[in-house]
Amino acid sequence: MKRIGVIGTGHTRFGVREDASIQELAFEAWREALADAGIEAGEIEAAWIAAVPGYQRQRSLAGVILEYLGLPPRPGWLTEAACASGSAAIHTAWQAMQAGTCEITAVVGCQKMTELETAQILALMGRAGDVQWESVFGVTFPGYYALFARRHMERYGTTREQLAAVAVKNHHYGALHPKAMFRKPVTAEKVLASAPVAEPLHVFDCCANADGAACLLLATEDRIRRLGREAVWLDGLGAATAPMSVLRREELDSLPSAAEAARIAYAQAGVGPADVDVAEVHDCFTIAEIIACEDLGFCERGAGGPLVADRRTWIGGDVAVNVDGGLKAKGHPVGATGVSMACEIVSQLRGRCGERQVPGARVGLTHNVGGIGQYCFVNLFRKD
Amino acid sequence: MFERFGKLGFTRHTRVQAFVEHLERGEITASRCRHCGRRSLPPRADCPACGHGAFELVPVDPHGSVLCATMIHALPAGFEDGGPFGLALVDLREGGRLLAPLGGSFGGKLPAAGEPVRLVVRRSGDGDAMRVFFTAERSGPGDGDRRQQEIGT
Ligand SMILES: [Zn+2]
Repeated sequence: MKRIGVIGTGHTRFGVREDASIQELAFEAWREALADAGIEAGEIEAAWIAAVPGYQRQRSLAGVILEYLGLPPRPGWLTEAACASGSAAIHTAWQAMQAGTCEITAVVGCQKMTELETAQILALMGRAGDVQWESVFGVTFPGYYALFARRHMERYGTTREQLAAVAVKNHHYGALHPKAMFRKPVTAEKVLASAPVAEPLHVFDCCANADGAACLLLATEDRIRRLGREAVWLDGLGAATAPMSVLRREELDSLPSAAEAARIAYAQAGVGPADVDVAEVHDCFTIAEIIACEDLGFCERGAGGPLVADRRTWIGGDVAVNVDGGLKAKGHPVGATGVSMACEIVSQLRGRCGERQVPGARVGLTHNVGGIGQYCFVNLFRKD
Repeated sequence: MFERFGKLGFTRHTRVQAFVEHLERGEITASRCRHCGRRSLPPRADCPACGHGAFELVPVDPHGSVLCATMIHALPAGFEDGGPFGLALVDLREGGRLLAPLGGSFGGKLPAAGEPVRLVVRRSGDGDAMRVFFTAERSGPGDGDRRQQEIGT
């Protein structure tokens, strides 16, 4: 197997971006990544666009973006795996490079969600699950994670205060990240007192729809040596699926796709959970970060609540988790999220994160979940 | 046809549409593979064990217990009118799981994990507006004893 590394990253500010269209957001991240890598657009041999087309009015979305980036006639297309589209695109690019069809590629994740009208948002929210057996009763996207949260609370004694500790941590670090959507700390009291969305989850347990883009440039080891560049190596890639329907999953206190993807990624990279210095995990809801820490082996099953409440996932703890604010404070433009996670880990391993830098970070992990766990991608990055 | 199932239908055509006809007669059914006997609830036409496509729908005992429940406050499209509502995942006694709205017997409170419940078939509306579904209701002591005895023997 070839070793493949990241040679450049680009990232827009996340949030309400009324100043740009989706292709302009994509270009903003692309331009920054090319400058970071010190290469020309003409050197990119293929590109994958990560986005969820259901959120956009433009059909054949990738075509419009690839044109705006100036990629034609080189190949590129859309990769979609719900909220894990970004990591799915990274995985696809890695496979193409392993196959020898290209040596230097771009992955561009982008989404523009704040143009959606309320009626569309409510309609999408009500079709997050299996529409034949579940959506017919009005279960929403937060509703599924609320069910996971109730199960976790009843089985392990996880508390709403422990859920709130995730929001407090992620908003604390979001405030330190210049490209985050929300740059204000919150108190546990404010999280607990916010309006209910689906019990036990309240507004401050949920991430927000956002606009934004992120770009990752990948190259094979040979090509990186010829270019004379430094790289952060993508040394482990785990991808797995789980039944989409919660009616066909054995348990709800874990995402089986995440546990399986983690197992594959750790084995491929030859590291374990204790080796991870910094992790980006998919905190679409506070409970999701607690379950992620357990699925990734950062603690025992059921111990994710105390792990965050005891500040063991803050910088200086066992493992720094979501110290860019996570989906919670950085924002969640769904197609961009997986690529954004990779950008943050690469920046951490290069020591470029300023106030939120994890000192001496050498091994970083991304955990990107699609939907309610029907897809999960876990990637391990390493700096030699 | 199948779009009559639930509070709001999204699926019109399916090979398990007879599930709705049984429900109209008051019966919840699971699928059983005619080749290997594998039972599925919710029903599915194509056997997940052996891949055969021949199946029959068989009645299920509507008793079970709550795996977990939630109260939906931020209401999705089509559910805006009634205010917050409860939903439970119900593990049926004979196997399988269904999502069900919490019925009036819960008085707006969420049941705890493991609480015994019974799925009660409901109809609303007439003609084209007719809907058929079920709710999860409290299941008191003695309720369902007959069935329990059957299973016990
Ligand atoms: Zn079979």
